[in-house]
Amino acid sequence: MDSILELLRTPAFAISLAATIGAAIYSYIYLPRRMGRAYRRSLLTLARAIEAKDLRAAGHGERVAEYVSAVARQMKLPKKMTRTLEFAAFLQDVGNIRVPHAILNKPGKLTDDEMRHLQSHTIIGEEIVEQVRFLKDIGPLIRHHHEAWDGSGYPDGLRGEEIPLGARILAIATAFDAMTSERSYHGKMDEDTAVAELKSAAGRKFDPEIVQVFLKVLQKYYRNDRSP
Amino acid sequence: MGAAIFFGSLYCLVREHTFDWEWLFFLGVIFLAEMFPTKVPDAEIELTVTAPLVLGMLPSHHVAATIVVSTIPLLIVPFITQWGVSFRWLSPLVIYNAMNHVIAVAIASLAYVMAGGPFIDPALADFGTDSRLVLCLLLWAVIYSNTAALICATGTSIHIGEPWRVSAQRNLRWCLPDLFVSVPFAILFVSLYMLYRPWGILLLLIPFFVARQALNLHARYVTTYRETITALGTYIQHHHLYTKGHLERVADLAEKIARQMQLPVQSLMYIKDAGLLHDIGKVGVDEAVLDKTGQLSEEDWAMIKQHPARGAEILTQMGYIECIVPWVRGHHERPDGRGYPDGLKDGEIPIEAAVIAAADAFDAMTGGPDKKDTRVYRAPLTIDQGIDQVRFGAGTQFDPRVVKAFMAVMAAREEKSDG
Repeated sequence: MDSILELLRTPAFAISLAATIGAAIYSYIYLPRRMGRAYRRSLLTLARAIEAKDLRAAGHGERVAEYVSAVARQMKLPKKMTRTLEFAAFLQDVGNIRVPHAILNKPGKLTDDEMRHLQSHTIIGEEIVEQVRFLKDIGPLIRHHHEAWDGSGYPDGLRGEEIPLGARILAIATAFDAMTSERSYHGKMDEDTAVAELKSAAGRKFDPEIVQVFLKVLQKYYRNDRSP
Repeated sequence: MGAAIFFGSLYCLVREHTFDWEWLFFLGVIFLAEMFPTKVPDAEIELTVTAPLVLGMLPSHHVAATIVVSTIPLLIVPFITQWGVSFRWLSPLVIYNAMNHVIAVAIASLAYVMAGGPFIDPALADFGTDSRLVLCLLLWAVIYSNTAALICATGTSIHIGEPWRVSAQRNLRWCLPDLFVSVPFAILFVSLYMLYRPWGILLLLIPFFVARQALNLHARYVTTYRETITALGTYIQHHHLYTKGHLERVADLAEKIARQMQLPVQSLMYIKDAGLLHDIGKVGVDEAVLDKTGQLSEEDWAMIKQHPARGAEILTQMGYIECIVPWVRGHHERPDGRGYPDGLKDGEIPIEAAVIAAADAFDAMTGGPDKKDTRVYRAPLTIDQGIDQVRFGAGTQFDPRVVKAFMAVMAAREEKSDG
């Protein structure tokens, strides 16, 4: 025991203690932050690649990510799941890469064949994100973000709670953003019309409970900003 | 044989009644070390500090105790870390590994004893690291890691029917770096142990875990980017199918040319990625334009000419491989200034961009060795015609230095296929 006390008094010990503390700060504080930035950057790279293909997608990912994270906070979902949802919001349409420009930008109604092509983007999207380990969790969300509550969606025709929770949230946020921003198939709507649309689709296309949460969030975060 | 040694040592210990609570301590430490291995970036192996710990234990506790104490964690830990894996499937592997360890420790320790390695009585407080101890520890580590690697190689070669030499080479490659870590660590370990008893080792554990965390995070950092690059590669291949194969061949050829030119290490490291991603901007070009057989309209050209710049823009986001951004942007520039998007002249174009330009053009003209990926708008050239085209372009379309290296690469390839 004496020897250990002696050791604690030596300058060598002080130096190595300082070095250890420094290394600990580096590896437990700095490195995890850098890791977070790395995730973010590689996500943005992929998002940028999606926007390059589909110009109308610009900004869509960011806005949907904002909506879903607000909904997730409102529902008090675990932090990790919130992050997964945000990532999924950015990358949900990554599978569009396989859809020809001609179909993506077609102004009128799509033929059945073209529709099938468009619908395949959920499956291809899942395939692409599965190659990145930190994005693995969002694979199912991307696959199922076009499923409908009553089972009429694609690609698997899941219904109700069979659809992953994240995918149900994502579907509502995406639909709302598509309605209120300039996306191809329909012109831009004002927010009240879009809200009415969401309400009427609750229970048919969307999980009714989450629609309620979404409307609440909309009231809380977005309406207040604009009213004065 | 391993089992015989293990139970023999156990028997020796029981007969001598020399139980020591410090064994339990070592057992715990080795257990911890096995539980938390460290991943090495870019290599599919995991490092543990078990070997230096075993080595640190040897001079003070003799051979028998070392063997028994170090083997027990090896027998238990895999079942904990790989919980859920079928017991029947895992058991033979675990026993095989543990026995491998026992035999390697025994042989190495035998050498240690024969070389006159000192055994120190832990009761003696007075202790100094003499050079003989260091040399003998080094000997032990060399023999241990080589024996273990060779036994492991034998096992693999029997199991998967690979030539023994290949397996042995693969396993032995890690011995040397392993030694650099384990020998100094072991010496430090023995000294601290002798001076301060187990407390000294506890002092080492904290820095060890910190270092482990740093290494693991770094490994994850690197993998994240590697995987993103792969994902981007798949992404662009989904856009347009001819690009499949083409991109990989361009990446390979560009790397070969860069090696031939002896470009700086950083360029060599990333030129393959750049080759794979150089056309990422093409996702913004309508596939109908890429597939067009007839004359391209002005508008189509404008769209195509944007792709290097757009690709660069996408890749700017990714901090890790920032250096390839100008390479991607410049891969359609020409020394005579007639390239796009910036119309750079000779000397302004990054050399790596010039390398990719040549590799890209050659592969696009010849459609690769198997001729499957030919482009719609023209019939493929033969390899020789392709080489001629590149040579004609030296100074105007291609950088002459790159063309020279390209010719050398092609000549080497022909020789190889002739011989």
